[in-house]
Amino acid sequence: MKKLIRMRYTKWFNISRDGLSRNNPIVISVLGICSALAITNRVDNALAMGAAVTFVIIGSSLIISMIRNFIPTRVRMITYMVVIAGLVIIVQFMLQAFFPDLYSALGAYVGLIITNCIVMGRSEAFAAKNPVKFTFFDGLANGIGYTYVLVLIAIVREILAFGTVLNYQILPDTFPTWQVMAIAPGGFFVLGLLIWVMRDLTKNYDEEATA
Amino acid sequence: MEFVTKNSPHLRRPNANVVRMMRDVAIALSPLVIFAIHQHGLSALWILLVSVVSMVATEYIYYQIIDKLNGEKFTLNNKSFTVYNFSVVVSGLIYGLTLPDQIPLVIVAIGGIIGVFLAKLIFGGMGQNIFNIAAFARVFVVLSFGTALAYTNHVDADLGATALGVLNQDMLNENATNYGFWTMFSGIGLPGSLGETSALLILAGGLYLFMRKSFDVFVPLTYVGTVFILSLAVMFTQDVGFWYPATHVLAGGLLFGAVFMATDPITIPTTRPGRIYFAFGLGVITFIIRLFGNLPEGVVFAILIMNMFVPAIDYHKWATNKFTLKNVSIFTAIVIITVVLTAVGVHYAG
Repeated sequence: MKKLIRMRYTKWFNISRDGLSRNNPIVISVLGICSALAITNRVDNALAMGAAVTFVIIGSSLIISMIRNFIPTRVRMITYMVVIAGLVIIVQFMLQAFFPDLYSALGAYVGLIITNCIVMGRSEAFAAKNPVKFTFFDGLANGIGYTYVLVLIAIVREILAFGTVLNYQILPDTFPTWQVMAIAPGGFFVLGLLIWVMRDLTKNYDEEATA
Repeated sequence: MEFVTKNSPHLRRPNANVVRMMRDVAIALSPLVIFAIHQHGLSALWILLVSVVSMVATEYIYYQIIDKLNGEKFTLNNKSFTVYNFSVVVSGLIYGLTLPDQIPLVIVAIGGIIGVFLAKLIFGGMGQNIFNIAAFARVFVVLSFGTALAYTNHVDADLGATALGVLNQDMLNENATNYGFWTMFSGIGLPGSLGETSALLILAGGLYLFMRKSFDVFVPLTYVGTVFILSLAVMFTQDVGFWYPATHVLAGGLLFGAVFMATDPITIPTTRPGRIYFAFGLGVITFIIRLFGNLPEGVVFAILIMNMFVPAIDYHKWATNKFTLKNVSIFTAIVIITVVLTAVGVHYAG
C-alpha cells in the first residue's frame, strides 16, 4: 500500500500522467489538430493513424535520445527532421504493402505525420534531454494520449455520420445521418466540445483566460 | 443631472429594451406564420412548433443543469432563461420559417437543439453569441441533411425548381420568370421555405419594425440595395431584361434574411458605418454565392461569414465620427470596384 502511494512521486507516473491527461497533446497542448480533424470520420482510420503516430513518436524519440550527446546544437532540428522523415517513410511503405485499403483511406495524411507537431515537440522537449528508458515511456504515453482522443472523436463522428462503429451497424436505418459530421466542420464541433469537457474534468484552464 | 443605468441595448431612446424589441419582432413575424400555415397546411404548424419548442426546451434544460452544477436549488423559472424576453422564441420562429415545408420533424428538432446549444448557450447565452442562432441552425440543417430539403410547388407541378434553382443551373435562364411578378411578390403558391416566399408580408413586417424603431433600417436597405445594384450591373453587361434584378431581390431568402436575420442586434456591429459595411458585405457574399457557388441560395452563409468579421469592422472611431467626406468617398470607391469586378467576373464565368 505504501508503495502504491509513493508511486505518485516516481518519474514513471509523472511521465505517463503528462502524456495521458495533464499535458495531453491534443486536449491540453492543442498539437496535431490537422490530422485529428481530417481522419477521424471513421474509427478504423483513427486507430491506424494513432498506431502510426505512436510508432513514429517512440522511434524518433528513441533514436534521438540515443544520439543526443553527438548532435551539434545548431543542426539539431535538421537531425530530428531526417530521423522523423525516415520513420514516416517506413510507416508509409508498411501501410501500402500490408493494408492498402487503409492507406488509400488515409491518403496524404500518412505522409503528413512528418509535420505533426507532437513528434517534433517530444523530440525537442523531452528526447534531447532525457535517457533512453524515460524517452521510450514518454513516447508511448504521448502516442496513447493522442490515439485515445482520436478514437473518442471518431466514435462520435462515425455514429452520427454513418450510424456505425468499426463498420458495424448500431443505429437503425431510419436514423437521419448527419453529413456534416463526415466533413471537417463536424470534427471541429466534436473536438471543441471534447476539449471543453476534458479541461473541465481535469480542472485545467489557460492561465491568461482566468486572469 | 440624472444618471440612468440599464442593460443593453443602449440605443438613444429612453424606452428601448430587449422585451419590447423582441416582442416587436415576434409581432412582425406573425403574418408570415399565418401565411405559412394557410399555404402549407398543418405541416407548417408542426414544423414551427417543433422548431420553437426544441430551442426553448434545450435552453431551459441547459440552465437547470448549470444551476444544479452551481449548487442552486431547483426553481421552475430560471433567471437566465430567455423565454420571458421572447429572444429564444424569436430565434426558433425565424429558424422554423427558413425551413422547407416537407422536412421531417426529427431533422427540425435536431437542428434546433444543436443550433441553440452550439451557437448560443456555450457562448454564454443571451447577448453573448457571436453567430446568429437561426442562421447557424439553418446552415447546420443544410450541411447535414441536404437531401431532405424538398419544396412543394402549388403553381406548376412540372416545374419543381425554385426561381433561384433555375438560375443556379443556368445563370441567365429566362425560365426563372415563369412565375410572374405578382406570384413572386405575394408568394401565393410559390415553392420555397415556409416564411421566405411572401415579399409583401415581409415588407409589411419590416415597415412595422421600422415604425416602432425596433431595428436599424439601414441594414436591410443596404443589403437589398447591394444585391440589386450588382444584379443591375449584370443586367446591363449581359443584356438581359429587368426580370433579372427583380428575381434576385424577390426570390429566395434575401428579403427575409435582410429584415429579420441580418438585423439581429447582438451579432451585428454597433456603429452605423460599421453596420453599412456589414450589410454591404452581406450583399456581395450573397450575390457571389448565388452566381458562382454550388448552392442556389447564400443568405444564411453570408450572415455567418460576416458575423465573423464584426469585431474587425466595429471600428471604434466610427462611433462618433460618422459620415465624413473621406469615409463616404472610400465607401463609394469600394462599391464601384465591386460592381466592376462582378461584371468582369460574370463576363468570364458566364
